[in-house]
Amino acid sequence: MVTINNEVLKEVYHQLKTIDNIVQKEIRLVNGNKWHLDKMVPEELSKVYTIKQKTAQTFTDNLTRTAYDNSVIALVATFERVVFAKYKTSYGSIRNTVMTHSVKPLDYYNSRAKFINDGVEYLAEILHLLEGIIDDTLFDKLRILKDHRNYISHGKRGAKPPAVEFTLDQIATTLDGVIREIEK
Amino acid sequence: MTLKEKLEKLKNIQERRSEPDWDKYRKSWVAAVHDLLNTVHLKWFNDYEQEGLMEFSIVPVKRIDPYIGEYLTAVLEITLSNNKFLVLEPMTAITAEYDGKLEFYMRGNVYKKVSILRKIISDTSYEWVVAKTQDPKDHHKLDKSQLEKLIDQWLQ
Repeated sequence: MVTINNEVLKEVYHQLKTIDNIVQKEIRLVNGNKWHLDKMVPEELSKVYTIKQKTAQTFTDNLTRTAYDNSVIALVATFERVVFAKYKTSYGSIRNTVMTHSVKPLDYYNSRAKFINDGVEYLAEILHLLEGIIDDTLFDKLRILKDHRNYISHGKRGAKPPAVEFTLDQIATTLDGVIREIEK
Repeated sequence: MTLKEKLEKLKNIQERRSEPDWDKYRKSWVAAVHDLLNTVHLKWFNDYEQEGLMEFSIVPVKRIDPYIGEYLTAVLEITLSNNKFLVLEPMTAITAEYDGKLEFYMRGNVYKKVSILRKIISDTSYEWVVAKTQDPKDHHKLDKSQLEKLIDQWLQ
């Protein structure tokens, strides 16, 4: 377990670690006894994946992968919720500052508020805002996570998965680190 | 800038713009995976099979990857005694940083897993790298002893 500072991200991280813990504890029992899987699955799936020990273990391996993929999506989605809320607040503050403090004569005076872009809707655009602003290593990790999330959630079109997957601890630490940089 | 330099620059721009030949890439990935599975089975671990310590089976699988689409490849399953299984499984032909990934793992234990990554060196050569973590210091050229060391650790 790692220490996560952002409260929203921390709660989701703790929940996902708990799910992972439950899954791993149950799977350990399947390794020695395939019938344990029948206690884990919905009643309708009883005896479907317990024909052979190997079939049961293949099912639990894939269960672990699906749980991991879902965790990547959940953590990145939580991160997005937090950073977009911060973006909206900053947008409002900056816009008000420009409206209040810009003085004539200024070309485009009446359009000055439109110089502040409120069109950021995607994580890729948040990355653009952060590029060159936050630490390069942290930025690279965030870019890898964005690509990984896209690879999982967009039907594996376009985006490339990382060569080696981050652990849940590494993902949470990276996202928390970016939030801290934004809050500086 | 000399004429030669200008021509080279033009050629580089052209190469950057042109899409990779994904059909060729898919074939080379399938062939590379096939070679690796054969090397592990018939070369590196053949003695263990002859002595009845490992049983090998090749399971055909279908994969769908970005850019290269659908293709057939295979998973190598190694059965040890006492219901222990090792698996060498192609995961994706396209990855960031490297040029395709397999996972080598022990069934039923998520923490006993490493990535086996293809690194293309030139049009005709590549090498396999074994990686435990994202850290490049943990990436080593794959060979028989690396795999043996991993299995030894996992069985402890």
